[in-house]
Amino acid sequence: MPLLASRRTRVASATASVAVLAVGLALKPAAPAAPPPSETPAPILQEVVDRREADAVFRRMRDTAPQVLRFAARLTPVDVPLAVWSDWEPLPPDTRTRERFGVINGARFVLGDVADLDQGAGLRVTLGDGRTFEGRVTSRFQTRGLGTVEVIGAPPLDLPPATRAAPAAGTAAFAAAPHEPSMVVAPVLLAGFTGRELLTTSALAPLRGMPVFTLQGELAGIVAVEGGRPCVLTIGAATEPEPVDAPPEPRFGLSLGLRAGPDGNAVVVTAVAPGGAAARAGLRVNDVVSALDGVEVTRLEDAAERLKRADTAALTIVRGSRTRTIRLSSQGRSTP
Amino acid sequence: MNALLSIGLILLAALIAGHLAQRIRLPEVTGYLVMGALIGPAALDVVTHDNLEALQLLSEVALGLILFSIGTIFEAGTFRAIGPRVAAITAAETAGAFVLVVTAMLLLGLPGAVAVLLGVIAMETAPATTLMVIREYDSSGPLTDSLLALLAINNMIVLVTFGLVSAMLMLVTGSGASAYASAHAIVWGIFGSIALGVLAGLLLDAWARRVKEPGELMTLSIGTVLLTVGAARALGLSPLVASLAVGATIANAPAQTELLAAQLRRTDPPLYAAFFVLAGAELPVALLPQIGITGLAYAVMRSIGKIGGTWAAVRRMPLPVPVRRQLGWCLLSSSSLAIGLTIQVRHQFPAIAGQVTAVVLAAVIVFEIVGPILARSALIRAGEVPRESQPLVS
Repeated sequence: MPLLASRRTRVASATASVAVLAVGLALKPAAPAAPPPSETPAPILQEVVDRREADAVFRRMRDTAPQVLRFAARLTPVDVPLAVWSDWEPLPPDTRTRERFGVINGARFVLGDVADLDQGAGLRVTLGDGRTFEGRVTSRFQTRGLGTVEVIGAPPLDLPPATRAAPAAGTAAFAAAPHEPSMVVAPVLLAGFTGRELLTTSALAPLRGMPVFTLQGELAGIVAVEGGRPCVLTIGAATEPEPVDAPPEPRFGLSLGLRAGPDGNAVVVTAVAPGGAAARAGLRVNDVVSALDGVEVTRLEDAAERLKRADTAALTIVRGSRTRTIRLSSQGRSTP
Repeated sequence: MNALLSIGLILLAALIAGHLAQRIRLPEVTGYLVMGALIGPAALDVVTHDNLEALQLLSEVALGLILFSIGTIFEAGTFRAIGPRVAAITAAETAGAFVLVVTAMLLLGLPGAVAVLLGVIAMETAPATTLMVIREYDSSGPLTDSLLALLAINNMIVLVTFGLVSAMLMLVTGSGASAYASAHAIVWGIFGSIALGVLAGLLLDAWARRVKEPGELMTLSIGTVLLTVGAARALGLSPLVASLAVGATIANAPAQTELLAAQLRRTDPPLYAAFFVLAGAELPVALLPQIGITGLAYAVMRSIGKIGGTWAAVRRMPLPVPVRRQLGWCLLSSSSLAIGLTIQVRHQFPAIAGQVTAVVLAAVIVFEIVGPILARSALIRAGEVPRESQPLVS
């Protein structure tokens, strides 16, 4: 006999089902409160951005605006020495590529979705106007899920500077990534002068690395992630790469690291061992190392490598407005 | 192209694809999927992104009806006989897939959250594709019976596990809802969906007794299932579980279950064909070359986990040897639920969604093509496909 053969069973089942639904709805937690309105009256993003229109805007920006980039990433093994990228080397023809997007911030760095690439991984970057250059992942914003890529190779590529001001608070915009298989467009609302806050009016959250465009077709920035929530870094926004430290060099009694400076990243002294060669020579924490043995220091890894191999080193340091050269010898090391 | 033109084209393309598939001795569903990929945005772009959006409703309708059909196997008497065995097999094969995929992803250096989410999604077996193969070849027997029940329980386990895992991850990362909201979402998603499905099934049963005409029965059935899917969406419930529950309720009600099911099956050919062609058109074929080592590891470990887990569970069960050997091979199809879960991941974990999506979608392409072929072969080797339904052997 069927389980629900008797009328009594059917009525009981129906009653129980209604009760479960009623209790579930009654106990449903309230939806989170809407974010407070910004000071500037925000235009209400009422219309759903037409996907074809967004596609057209995106393609126009991608094909004509230099700031929108396409990366072809070579997945570099971790143990490949970084020095190999100091020479201009075309990527081999079998390089695996995956299209990603980024924007230029300033003259040296590009921001893109490189968070899953190793530090030092080589990239071929294609600008929106078709120019290509070799780049290398120099740092990653762990909290924002983005990374910076530094231009390398010769001749140096003249990157267009960031010229657009950040969009006003409450600017209606959309994030677009036509290469995504099932999502193309997510309407968003920019809030805050720097565009840090991103309110999405779409059921689909914008993805990290997606460029954000105003409805007028201006590139506003790139979607990053802070605190697990999407935000947008506008072109020209200050970027503070996470500090990177090289292993301490006990023979000279100092440690070097990469820190953000007014002119971009700089190699600085991050620690000086008391009584060590560096301390006796007068080095101090936060001294900027501009050259090592007469060779300009642009990369932390190169400086650390040179120090590891040398018995003596001549560091050209910048402290405040003064520049001086300090000579170190590894023979005068002190015990920690 | 407008929506009507595209749906007409899809149906005719499905007809051609089905015939071609039969000629080269492939399951029809494989033909539908490949044809869909061909005419979809990834290749010829005859069916465009806009068409796919407009026809999304059709896919939801078809999936609801498919799951209703699967739910009808939950007749109490049958389930009492096979339920414990099927539950044990499902637990083993899902655990096998989860453990192996998570381990492999962690060894490849993926973050823990990404690895766990991939592990949960790997547990899924596509109900629609597998059911389509069973129907096409008229298979019947202990393997088929176990398989249908397995599909239903598998999808429920995946939904519950995904809810639990995503709630825990959101709590750990400090983003998103509170603990209470997460717990409510999980409990509501399962029990609320079952309650909705039971209620809808009882209403269908009550009305069906008063209906004489077969055509009216079909209208009633389809209307009820669609109402259930729509209500589930409106209430934030799972349309999948609710549709399963409608089918299960009907199976245990005294109304004309067989007649209801038979009437619904008359809508199968055009609806299923359109559903699978649409599914093929939505396959991100462009991702396949980028599957990479991670995607390959995911695919291999998922397969080993499912087949190995199944074997570990069935080897001491009183089942015929061919059934014990072949069951695992029927569980490899992966599609709509996996894709649905990646969309959930995008909503809840946007920071890591890209990694999860890329791996899952690339693997789905592989499993949707290979899965039905393996399932068909397994059913034939188990002796559950009538000779006249088997592909002709030269």
